[in-house]
Amino acid sequence: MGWITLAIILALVFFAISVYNRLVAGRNRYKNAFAQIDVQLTRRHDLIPNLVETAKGYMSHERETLEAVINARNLAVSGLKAAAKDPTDPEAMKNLSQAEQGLSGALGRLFALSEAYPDLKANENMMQLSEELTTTENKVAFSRQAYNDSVMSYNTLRESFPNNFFAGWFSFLAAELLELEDEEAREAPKVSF
Amino acid sequence: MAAPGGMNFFEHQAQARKKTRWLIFLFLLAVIAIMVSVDLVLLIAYGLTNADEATSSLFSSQNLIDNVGLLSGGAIASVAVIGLASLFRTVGLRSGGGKIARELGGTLVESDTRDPRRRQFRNVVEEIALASGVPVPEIYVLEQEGGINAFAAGFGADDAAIAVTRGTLETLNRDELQGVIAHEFSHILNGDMRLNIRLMGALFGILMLALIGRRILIHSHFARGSRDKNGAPIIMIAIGVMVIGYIGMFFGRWIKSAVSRQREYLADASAVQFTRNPDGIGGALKKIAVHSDASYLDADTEEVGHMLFGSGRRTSMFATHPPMEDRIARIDPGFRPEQLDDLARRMEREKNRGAKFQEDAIEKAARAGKAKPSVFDARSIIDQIGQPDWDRILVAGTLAASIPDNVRQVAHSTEWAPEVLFFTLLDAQASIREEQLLSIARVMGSDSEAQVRALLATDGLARPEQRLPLMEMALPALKRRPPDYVNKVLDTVRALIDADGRVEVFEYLLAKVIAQHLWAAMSPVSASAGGSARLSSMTKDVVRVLGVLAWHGASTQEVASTAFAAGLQAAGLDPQPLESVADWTAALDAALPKFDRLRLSDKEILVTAMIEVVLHDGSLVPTEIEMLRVVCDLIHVPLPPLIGD
Repeated sequence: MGWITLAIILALVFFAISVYNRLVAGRNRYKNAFAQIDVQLTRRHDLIPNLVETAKGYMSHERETLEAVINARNLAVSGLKAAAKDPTDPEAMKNLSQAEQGLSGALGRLFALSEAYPDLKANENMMQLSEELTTTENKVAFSRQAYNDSVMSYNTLRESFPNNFFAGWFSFLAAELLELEDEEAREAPKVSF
Repeated sequence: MAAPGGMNFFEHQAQARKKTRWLIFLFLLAVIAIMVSVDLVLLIAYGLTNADEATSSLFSSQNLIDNVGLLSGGAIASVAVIGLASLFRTVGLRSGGGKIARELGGTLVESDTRDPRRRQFRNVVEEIALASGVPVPEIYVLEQEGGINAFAAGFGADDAAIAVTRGTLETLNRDELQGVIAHEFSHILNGDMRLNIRLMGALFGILMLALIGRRILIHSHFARGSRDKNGAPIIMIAIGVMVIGYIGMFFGRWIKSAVSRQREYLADASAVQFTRNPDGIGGALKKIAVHSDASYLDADTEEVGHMLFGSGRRTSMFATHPPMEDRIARIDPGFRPEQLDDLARRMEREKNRGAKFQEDAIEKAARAGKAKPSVFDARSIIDQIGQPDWDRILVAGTLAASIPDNVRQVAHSTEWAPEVLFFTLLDAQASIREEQLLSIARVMGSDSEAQVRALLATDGLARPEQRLPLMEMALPALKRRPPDYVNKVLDTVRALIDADGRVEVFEYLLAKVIAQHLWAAMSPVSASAGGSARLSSMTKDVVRVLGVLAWHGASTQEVASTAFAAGLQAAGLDPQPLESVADWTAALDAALPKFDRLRLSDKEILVTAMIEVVLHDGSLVPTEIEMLRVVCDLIHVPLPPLIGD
């Protein structure tokens, strides 16, 4: 009888170890996927001061819009910093989502306004910057798919029975999806030169 | 985002995969049928030679067992021929994707390219690499192709290369380009290159069978007299194998192109999956359908035909691609062929608008050319460096406008750029010119020589002041050619300059500028705007170069001496007597790279000194202007065109 109990306990321990390891692997996978997005978002943030600098010369009357872009950018930079520090913190990820959506909105308004300034649109520097912004946004979108996929499989692993007990004991938090799909934000960068 | 209009790319993908499997099964069946047929021929031929036995029992089990050696021998032989030949072929086709792209005339797009269109191309490739999870391949542009097409080459994802035509970059917008690139990535991801190389290998094996049959037939035809007894069956076997081979070829090619067509549908569906945007690839397909050059290529596309985005050639029976309308309809279910007419009209309008814009610009430049040239001095020229003001732009415009239209047009084209470059280097003396034309024919081929002669016939020799503008027009198109080709062009340039047996200062510098520009395009790292060296560390070189320039512009020693003295003063050096520089090419060779490393402020002093020397006699002849510009170009100081007397 003692043998059987021992065998059951051993089996349970091994099962717990395997669940723990799978949860760790899943968490690392989505952390890594976030690192890919981190690179692209940083590039996006780096491009924006140049963009504003170039636009300033042509649309000095649109001071407010330009300032809104810079503010949204600064917010997104700090949001990214917090999220990159600990990608497992759902709160930080949610803040980053919101900050990026705000930035996309501000940029969208800037591009919409720039339609009225043909000289700005023809500016070589501006064309280059908007091409780089477009490609960075596309890359964010594509790497976000990979991130959200890995978050989803991690969350599924974490919530399914009986893993949910172990996840609770070892305090594996639920991961947050990165949502930039806000309809307005999604359409905004499409204004191309 | 959901794919609209009931279009389900996953369904399309599954269907295409299923059909491919079925076709490959058919292909294997065909190969087996070929083996059986060869056996049959052998058996019949054997039966004929042993005609004394009962021919009626040819297919009896006893006869089959008796001849098991012959039959298996025949089967093994045909499998061996097909297998070996296809192995040989596959090895040949397995060279890396980049090599295939270069062979078709592709130019590598560097990762730090500045050209906006190439930049966009590279960005789009990187995006789709992210979306599809395939590593970023090498990317190429086919400069000489005006049609809309693209291909992926290579055996697997690791050695893959993607190439697009110049027409693709010029005609498609960003979304459409993205669709095309995603289509090519699907070929890489789905292993279509590998599949197709295998099919082509097997086809080549079947072709070998047919060729062997033909060879034996011809051989035995001539050898018949000596071996009359065995002649008939051998001829029969030969004819049989040949016919089987050709029939096999026919079905093989047919199946292969059917496979290829299925893979195109698969790739189109995958493109929608990667980009989540059916309008991109749909728009690209529609533009090909109405584009005047469509997707046809000048290069031989036999080996990459299956990898192209659209058909490379006008065929239908063995077409590697499904009809355009079908492909569009699968992406965009609401598509009606009449829409293409609208698109064609719209593209025509846009093209006309572009042409009109260019005409206007040229006209403006010509009108502006009549403006009065202004005076200049060394200081104001220095101020102009790097920021040409309106007058200088006008001069550049006038110079450009004085070049005949047809020559100007061809100078910008990739096909004619090298010939225009050679044309500017032709000598005024007829005998030397003939010598030069001969060396063009020797290095570049007779076509190139004929093109240079055509240029000469339309306009006579280029005038001295036209030489640099023409060269500047031709260089960008040249830079896009592959390195091997550029090397050939540089060899020719050297031969042209050496043709008269002596090298003038200007000619020498011109050759250096050409080489520098072409190499800068290939290894951008080496080009720089300024370094940190000081002028005081290279006084000796400055003195010698100013000396060379002084001798070059002057008619008498006295004029040369005063010009030289003025130059020394401008450079802040102590006066010294002008010495004759005997080995001036060596002096320039040694000095120019050093000058290039000067700090910007010292470069400015140097250029001022050189301008002083050249301008000292108060008049500025075209050769002197050209000389100045060439020297400045060599040390990476952009000097705008100067106004001559």
